[in-house]
Amino acid sequence: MSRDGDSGTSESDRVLVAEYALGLLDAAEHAALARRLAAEPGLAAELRLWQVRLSSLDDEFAEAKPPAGAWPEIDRRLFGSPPGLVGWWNSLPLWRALAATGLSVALVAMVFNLLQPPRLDPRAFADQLVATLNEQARMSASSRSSIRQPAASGSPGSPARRHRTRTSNCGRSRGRLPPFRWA
Amino acid sequence: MRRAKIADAAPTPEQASIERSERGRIEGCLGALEPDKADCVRGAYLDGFSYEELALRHKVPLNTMRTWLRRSLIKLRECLSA
Repeated sequence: MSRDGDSGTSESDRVLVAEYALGLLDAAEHAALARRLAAEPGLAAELRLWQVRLSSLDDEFAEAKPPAGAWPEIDRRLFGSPPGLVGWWNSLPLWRALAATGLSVALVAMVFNLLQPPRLDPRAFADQLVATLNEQARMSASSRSSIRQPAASGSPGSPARRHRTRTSNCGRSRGRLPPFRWA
Repeated sequence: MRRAKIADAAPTPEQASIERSERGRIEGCLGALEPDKADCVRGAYLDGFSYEELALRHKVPLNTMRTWLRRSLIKLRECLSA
C-alpha cells in the first residue's frame, strides 16, 4: 500500500473514496466509508477533490423537463397501488371539484338562509303577541299611577295634575280593548 | 482533547478558488485514459452505472471491470493532483 506524502491517504483509500464519489460502492460499503469520512479529515479532503473535479462533468447534462408521467410512474414503482383505485381515488381534479362544489353549496345555503326573512307561524305569533300585549297592558295598568304620574308632572302631589291625568285615562279607555292601544 | 484541534474539513476561500480554477482538468485527464476506460468513469458518474452494469455494457467479467476502473481511478487521481 503506497502512501502519499502530502495527505497521508493510502492508495486503496483513494480508490475507495473515488468509488464513493462515483457512486460505485454498495450500500454497506458506502455507509462504512461515510462514517470514516466524518471522522477523517484527510479522507474528506480527498472526497472533496474528486467531487470538485468531477463536478465539471456535470455541465455535460442539459437541464430537461421530465416527462409528465414520470412522477406517477415513480410513485407506482415505489409504493405500487391497486390499478382500479388509482384512477379516481387519487384524482386531484376530482377531489378539488368535489370540495369546491361542497363549499359553494354550503355558502349558497348559508347566504340564502341569512337573506330569508324570519318565517313566522301566524298562530304562534298571534299567541305571543296577545300574551305580550296583555302583559304590557297589565303592567301599565298597575303602574300607571306610580310611573306615569311622577314623569308627567313637576309637582306630583298637585290635585289639578292628578285630575287631568285621570281624565285622559278615562278618555282612552273607551275602546273595547283599551290596553292594546298603548302598545 | 485532540479532537478539538482537528481542522475544519471545509475548504478555505483560497482552496475553493484554486479548486474552481482547476475544475476543467478532469477532461484532460479523462482524455489521457484509454477511451473505453474513460467511458466507464463517465458512465459511473454521469449515468450512475454500477460495476455490474458497466461490465455488462463493455462485455467483460465483473472482476475485470473492477480492476479496470480502479486502475483508471488511480491514474486519474495522479493526473488530477499533478
